[in-house]
Amino acid sequence: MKKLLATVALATMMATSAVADTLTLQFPNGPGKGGTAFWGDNVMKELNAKLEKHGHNIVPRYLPGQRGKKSLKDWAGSYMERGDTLMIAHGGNGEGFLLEDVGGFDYRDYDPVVVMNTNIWVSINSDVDWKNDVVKFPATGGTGFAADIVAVGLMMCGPEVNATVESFLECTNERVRFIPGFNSGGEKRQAFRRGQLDATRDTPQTSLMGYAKEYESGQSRVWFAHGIVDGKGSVYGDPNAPEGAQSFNEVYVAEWGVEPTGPVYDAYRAFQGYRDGFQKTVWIAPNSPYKDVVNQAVQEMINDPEAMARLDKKLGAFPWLAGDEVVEFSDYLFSLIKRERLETLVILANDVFKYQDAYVKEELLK
Amino acid sequence: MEWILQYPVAVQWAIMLTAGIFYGGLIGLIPSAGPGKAIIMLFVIVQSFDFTGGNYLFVLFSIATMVSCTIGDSFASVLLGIPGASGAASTMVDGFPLAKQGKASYALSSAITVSTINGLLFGALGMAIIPFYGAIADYVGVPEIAGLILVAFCLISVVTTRNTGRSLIAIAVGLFIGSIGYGMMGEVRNTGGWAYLEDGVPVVIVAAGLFALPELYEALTTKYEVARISRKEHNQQTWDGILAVWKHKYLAFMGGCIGFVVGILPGTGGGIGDWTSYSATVAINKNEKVKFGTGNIKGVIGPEGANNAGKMGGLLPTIMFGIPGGKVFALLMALWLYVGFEVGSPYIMDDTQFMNSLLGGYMFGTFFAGVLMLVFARWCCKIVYINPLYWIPPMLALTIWAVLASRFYASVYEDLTMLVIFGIIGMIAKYGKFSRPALLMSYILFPRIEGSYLQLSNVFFYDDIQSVSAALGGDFSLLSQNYIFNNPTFIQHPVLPIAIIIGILLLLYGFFNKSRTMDYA
Repeated sequence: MKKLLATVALATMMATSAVADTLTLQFPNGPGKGGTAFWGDNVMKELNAKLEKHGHNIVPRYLPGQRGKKSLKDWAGSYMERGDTLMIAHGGNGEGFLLEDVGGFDYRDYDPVVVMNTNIWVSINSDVDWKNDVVKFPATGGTGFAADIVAVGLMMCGPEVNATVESFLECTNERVRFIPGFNSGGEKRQAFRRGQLDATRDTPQTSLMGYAKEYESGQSRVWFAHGIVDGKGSVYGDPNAPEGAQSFNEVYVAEWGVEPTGPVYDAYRAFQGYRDGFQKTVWIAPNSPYKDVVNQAVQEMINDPEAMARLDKKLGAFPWLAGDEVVEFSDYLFSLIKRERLETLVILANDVFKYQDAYVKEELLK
Repeated sequence: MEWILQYPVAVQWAIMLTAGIFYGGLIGLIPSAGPGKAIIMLFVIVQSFDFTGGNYLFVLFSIATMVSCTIGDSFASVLLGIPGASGAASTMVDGFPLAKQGKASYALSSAITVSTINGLLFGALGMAIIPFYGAIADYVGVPEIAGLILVAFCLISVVTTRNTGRSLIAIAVGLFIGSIGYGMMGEVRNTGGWAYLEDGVPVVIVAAGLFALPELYEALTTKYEVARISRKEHNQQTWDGILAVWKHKYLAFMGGCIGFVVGILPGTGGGIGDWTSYSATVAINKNEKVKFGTGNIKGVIGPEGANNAGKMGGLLPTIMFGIPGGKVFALLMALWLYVGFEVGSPYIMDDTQFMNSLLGGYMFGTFFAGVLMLVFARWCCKIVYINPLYWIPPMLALTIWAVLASRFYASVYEDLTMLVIFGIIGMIAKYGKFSRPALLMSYILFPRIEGSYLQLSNVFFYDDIQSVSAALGGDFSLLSQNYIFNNPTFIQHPVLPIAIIIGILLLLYGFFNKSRTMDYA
């Protein structure tokens, strides 16, 4: 009888553990630190509701440090043994992947689970004559080397100058003045509102929250939104943008009469793909035994209008990609990696930002 | 948490306030933990407030937690000589010597009283100026903030030791440590190739290493016995402590003003207000019979006066513009976003329920936490009678826990290594008479000084600096254009030249006036 009871108990325990595993969601930052933590916590909450139906739950693991690179290195070194872990990567991680040593981290080795396809807006004070004057723009030390800085230079310098990397650098060195030292986004926004900065960058939600009055009064406006990466070689308008706001390409054509081209634009487009297209992503090891159930739960979350309404309200109404769509999207971004683009980005990172760690990563070109 | 809705609103408030006060107070008692740690841990429970009306209760709870923890962090500083938070280290300088002299109740009651009263006073002031804050903020820009940061930095000279050379070394070391990690453009510097240092050296490690470890070592190796006092004597000391605040009311008010103003400045966490107030206290009290650093009650009242007042100062830009006054406020902003409040948006001020929860939590939390701590102090003070051999291990363990937990256990070995390194630096500074307060303040202020300089030089003095740089390179053509004399910044922003003059005077006073009564390294 004792043996029978023990066997039943053991079997029950094993069966229970098989269907009620706790998964881990690894964050590249601490709780409450920036938009990614907020995004991850909200996604985790909705995902948990779906995973519970499959007998699982998910808990956070915070691994902050080195602008997110610490988490990447940790994941790269152990992902094959950590099938129960999902990893969040953000736009800064995309930059690290393209330009810096991140301990062997390579998106292409992992399976994408979900992407929220977003972008950044660049706002400008209406009295700024950006075609002729120097433009004061915040240096984004906390964010690292951001695509907006390249985009602002491209917009200001125009087609002729953008034809070569050298002339672009000469122009931006002269006409774009990066203002570092802002301790927080709020401080930066205040400086912009007070006219101490001519233009600035923010997420769509932050822009709408921070400059609502200025947009309304005409003191400032959305200069351009990078646009949502469509996964087919172009971008489309941000669905959250106020009326009249246009994507980078639309504004460029309107101002200069031609589509943007040249090596810097080419590098910018690839870079923006990683910074914005991969701004909010979740990855899993390809050998994970939980891959199917996680993908199913994500799909259920995306198909649940109430869950998505809650997420849209908190995170902005952006396209979510999962299943085959996210795989196609990732493959498209991987296809953007070309030697010339990486070389240009390294020059920009070193020249504009005085980076010491940016280099052309040969391993990405294999 | 939805169960709470079955009770009347007054009961809901009472429950949340009580919970916040007890939780915040408890974390405040833990050495090196401080309000930042208490707020970070709220991320674990914030989702439980996701129900109608729960968001307002959460604001009440979180703000009560912060103020209670701010008052509570004096305990470890005064009783154990271990800073309850980086700011509370300034209270420790004179509070701990008083405790060793058998006057722990006196020091604690002074600290709690001034922190509570100034919290309420400046809380009321904060509420009163909210309608005008927008206009005030319009006047305060990069030059004004830079001026105030400059004055705070120059005040460091006042807390240095008499040995100018060693004091300058301490300041230089502090500045160097502050420069480690990502620079303002995102570049990596002074890490020696150690990836761990890319994020800079965490303030919790610097403060704990510099102050906690040397004091724990001293407690272990120096035999001192604190005379037991009776309940009657405790009551007398408590009353004397309260009276001391009244006696030094102008000093207390000055501390509150400094804390409030510094709190308003963006990114001035890490106890800059407390330290600035301590420095100002030392600066204006010359020829003291009891030297600062040896148990002068003014050295407790000054920094503690800045403590909670600074929290109200920090709340104003956080709520109205989304500009956090320090790390704690950045965390609060993030937490409130989870429950649907976008502080800094123009519409938050119209949400009267939010404002009521916030200000009610602040005022009631401060008052009840203060009263509770005064009552509670009697039992806490008994720790000074216990042989250090018994309390050092658990306190050391709690200090280490606070350090590791605040870093999410992401770099345990590296954090411990750094704690030991800063413990050694702290020992060298303490026994070699290199000023630890000066080192800590320079470290904390470095990013703000650098940021202010870069903003000033790029936005307001760009042409001036270009002309001087060119002149240094032999090209005087730009100098002849008189950018410097034509620059309207000094006229348009008079706070800046005034601050520069005050700063120079402070430096002269700090380094050359031998009547200073600071005796602490």
